[in-house]
Amino acid sequence: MNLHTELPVILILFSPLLAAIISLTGKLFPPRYSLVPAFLVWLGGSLAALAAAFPSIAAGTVLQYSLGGWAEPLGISLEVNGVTWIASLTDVIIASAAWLCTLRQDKFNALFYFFFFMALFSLQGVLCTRDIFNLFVWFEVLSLSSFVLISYDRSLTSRLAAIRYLLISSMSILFFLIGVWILYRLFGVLSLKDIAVQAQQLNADGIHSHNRPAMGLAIALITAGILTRAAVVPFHTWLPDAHMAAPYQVSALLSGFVIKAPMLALWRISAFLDFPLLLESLIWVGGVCALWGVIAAMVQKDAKKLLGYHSVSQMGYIVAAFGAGGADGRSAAIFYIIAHALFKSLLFLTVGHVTSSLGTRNVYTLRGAARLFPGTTILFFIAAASISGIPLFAGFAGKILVAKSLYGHPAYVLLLLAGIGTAASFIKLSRIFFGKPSAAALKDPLTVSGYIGMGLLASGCLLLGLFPHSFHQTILSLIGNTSIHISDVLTGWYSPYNLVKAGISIGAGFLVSQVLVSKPGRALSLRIRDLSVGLDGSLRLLTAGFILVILYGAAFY
Amino acid sequence: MAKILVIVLFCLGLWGILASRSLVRKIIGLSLLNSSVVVLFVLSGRLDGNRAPILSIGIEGVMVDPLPQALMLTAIVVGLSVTAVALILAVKIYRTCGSLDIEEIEDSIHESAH
Repeated sequence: MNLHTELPVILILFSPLLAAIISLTGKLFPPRYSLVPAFLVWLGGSLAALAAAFPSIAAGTVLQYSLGGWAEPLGISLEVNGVTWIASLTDVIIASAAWLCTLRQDKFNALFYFFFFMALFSLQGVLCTRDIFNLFVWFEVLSLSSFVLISYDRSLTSRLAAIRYLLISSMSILFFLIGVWILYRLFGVLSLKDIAVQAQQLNADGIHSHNRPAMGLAIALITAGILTRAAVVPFHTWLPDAHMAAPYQVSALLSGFVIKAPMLALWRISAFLDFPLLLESLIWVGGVCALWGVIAAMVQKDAKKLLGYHSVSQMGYIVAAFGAGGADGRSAAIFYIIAHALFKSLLFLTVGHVTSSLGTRNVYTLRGAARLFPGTTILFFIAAASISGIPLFAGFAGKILVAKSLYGHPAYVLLLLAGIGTAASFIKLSRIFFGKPSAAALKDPLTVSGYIGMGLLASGCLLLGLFPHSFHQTILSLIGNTSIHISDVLTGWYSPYNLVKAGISIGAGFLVSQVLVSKPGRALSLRIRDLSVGLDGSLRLLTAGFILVILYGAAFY
Repeated sequence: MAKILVIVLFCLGLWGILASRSLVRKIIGLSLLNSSVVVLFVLSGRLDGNRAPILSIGIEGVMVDPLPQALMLTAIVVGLSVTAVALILAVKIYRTCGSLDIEEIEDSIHESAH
């Protein structure tokens, strides 16, 4: 065994599993003995693995480990490449912040931490695996832990949200499996590397190959199955309820990373996604997703549901940038994934802290949180400024990169409108911090460690916003693209054009937010809120979506 | 024959999930859908050969592809766990709400919100 290249892969994958097992001993002994050791084992193992992997990753090599010593195509291979490395680092930061916010709260017992670390374990699996069937298994382990975490509050709402997520994700993963079956029938291998080689052969045969429609169908099914996990319209219906009903620390992890990991898996699969039409359609899907998500978010009454719909909307930006392709689009997607992971989990933690301490999530009645929680308020405004794209914060840089990758594409108009909506809904949401306190704080469950966790995320947002150029260069070199001179493309992040655009977007957002909170605006909001579908409706939407995808996949290739 | 079985199972499962308002029936539908995919994979291993995939000397003929069977063992276990979690959630919902009808459950959540 080659320790130098294999050990980091093993360590990064199995340290969360070890932490989960240690957490489980909290059922036998008092949980306080296992709580901190489990966290330290996970954090230490992951950070050590990332540090050990860095020299090779920076040199452009890929670390690989074949399970059981069986090389591909017979066995399953795990790999850590540049994208995995930077995604894992983000994952570690977000999960640490969420973990720090769970401390000293009685409701989180040993089982909670077990499922928490199992979710991290399967996330790492999704990021590392190079076998498409293995990916299915990781997805299922991830969703099984998510069901438990979502329904952890034991309320009717959270249980219904969990079962809704369960039905939708299980149905979509079966369509994904049918796609895997088609690929296996075509190529006889399951390793992504070998599928990519064979698919290139197929593409070289060109349009006349009779296997091409089947290949198109397989890719459409697999992509749609993965996009359901990433909560992209029309497969997004599970997300807002699940993120609303889960404990806010869990929501932070779910919105921060659980919906991003599928996009990174899609990235890995995209080695053989040599179908321009699919990428083109992803741009439009992303645009529609961004706009619809933000419209639904603007009208929400529930603060956490508002944030949930924002996750849908922001996934739209990521999918659109991913669809734009090329070094520009890919690096924009990664940059946005990292930026969004940081500020969205910070938003969930701050808003969750306020709403759970004050006992209500109603945006229209909750007031005066700034007086009760000044620290949380500052952190919230850092995150809100990031997501609205205010200069010097992370979202601004992310939006410039996405705009650059979609330059001249008509779907970009949808993203511009979504940007206005984002600013509007955050101006609406920020009203919970102003005014006289509407209620006395029930309790302030957050300890100093919680503030440290949130501060970690906030400093990440600020760093990304202040030094976008060096981060972007790092990403470009990590995804193995050093040939492009992005400094020529992006002369000046803070050019007058970009600043004016951000200013107009925020000004328009302010006007829209004033309309939203007026009386007719609230009546309209209620009408749009009533459009949201129940469980049956979302299952029908999912089926209709998949029928469309199948027709599209079979007809266009 | 088996091809018809796959299609019938798939359609039954989909119909169960979409048409029924009862949570338990939806879960049964999901199980059927899962089974149809399992049969699909196992069937595809059978398309190329008909002999048990055991290596031994002196037996002629083409083997059944063993990989789909191995994959489906995993898929069955995953499906079982998902069904178990789903049923637990359904039981818990029934104990709070007194009903498995999805519209009644959603109505009761809606009422408690106001």
